[in-house]
Amino acid sequence: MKVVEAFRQVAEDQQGILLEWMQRLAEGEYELLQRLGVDYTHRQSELLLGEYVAMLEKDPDTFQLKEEELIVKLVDELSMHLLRQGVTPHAFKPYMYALKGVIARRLKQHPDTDIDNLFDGYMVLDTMMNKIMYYYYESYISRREQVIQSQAMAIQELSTPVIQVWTGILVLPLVGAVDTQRAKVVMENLLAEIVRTKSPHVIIDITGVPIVDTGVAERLIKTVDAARLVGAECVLTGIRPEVAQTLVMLGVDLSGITTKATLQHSLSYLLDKQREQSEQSDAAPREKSV
Amino acid sequence: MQVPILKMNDVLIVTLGNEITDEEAIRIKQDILVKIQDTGCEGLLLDISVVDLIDSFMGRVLNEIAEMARLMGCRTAISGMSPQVAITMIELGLKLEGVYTALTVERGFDWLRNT
Repeated sequence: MKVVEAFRQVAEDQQGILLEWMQRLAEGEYELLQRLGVDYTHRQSELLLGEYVAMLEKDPDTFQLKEEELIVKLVDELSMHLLRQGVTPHAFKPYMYALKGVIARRLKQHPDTDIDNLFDGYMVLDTMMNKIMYYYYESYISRREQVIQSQAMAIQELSTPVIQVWTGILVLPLVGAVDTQRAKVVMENLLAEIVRTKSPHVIIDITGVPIVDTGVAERLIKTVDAARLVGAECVLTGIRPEVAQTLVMLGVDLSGITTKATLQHSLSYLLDKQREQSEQSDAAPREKSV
Repeated sequence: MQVPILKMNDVLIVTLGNEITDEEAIRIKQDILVKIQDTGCEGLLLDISVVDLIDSFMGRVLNEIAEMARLMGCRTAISGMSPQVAITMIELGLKLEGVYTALTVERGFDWLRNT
């Protein structure tokens, strides 16, 4: 095949292509080059060019990029680097197109080139480049997904801390909007923590909840009821004046829940209660023995 | 399934296991009530720490046992409910009002004897 032959001859001057490519990158303002640095880009580009040139000799219809370990590794590494540097995903495209331009021009200048094999050659260049491009975007997106997922998990963990402040007393500081999904996570976490630490008392602090409407109130009541079922009593605190007004205006019935003004009040109330209970259970056996 | 009903001081202790059928639940209910009458105990402690699934029927039976025991002058505490069971109960709208729920058998026992 003539095209393959022409490519082979063009590719013999790999160093020349690399230099021209790098020169182009340096002349134009390429985001990728600026972010990754000249040395790193040069090194990676050399490897990438070698792989790309080798690809050009293969049949574009049957070529499977994912089976080529080396180039997959190269593109993966590049996409990871770009992601870490906070570069837009599109920075890769002009960088690769610059290379395609260099090779296409050299192909055109080749003495055996006529219009037919220039076209064929260009098609091969294009198809192979697209394969790399597709893979790059796939790799970039899947990496980004991973980042997003781990961040979502981190946020979820951060958003539902349950703190043991005293023997048998847990504090659940709620911050931010309490939607159905989050309320469920909060409830599960809280119940698990109650059972794990064997804490009979819980303080729910809603100072950080911006809007408390009937939905939020209902979720809070559910959480309190569920906590009661596993054997823990809840004290609600941090109800701001406007929240109190809204709740009463909406007719939300919170009469079954103990409420205290501040976290401090709640804590001293629960400590008193614990003292009372321990005195009682100390007193009981004596009562019997008398 | 035969469920043992233990008497300790003035408290009856019943441990409910997994996979209790509806018929068994009704029989356990009757056994408990008869035992209350026989012993004249004033406290009933139901431990459900090994139960990891409660359906609406079982939830209702628990409520009924507590209510019936109350009529016979016996207070009821339920201990050791697991988080999953608690969430299911809340979703079913079964709040077990009028029943004392305790984290552990020990706490339930203390409550029945002291308050």
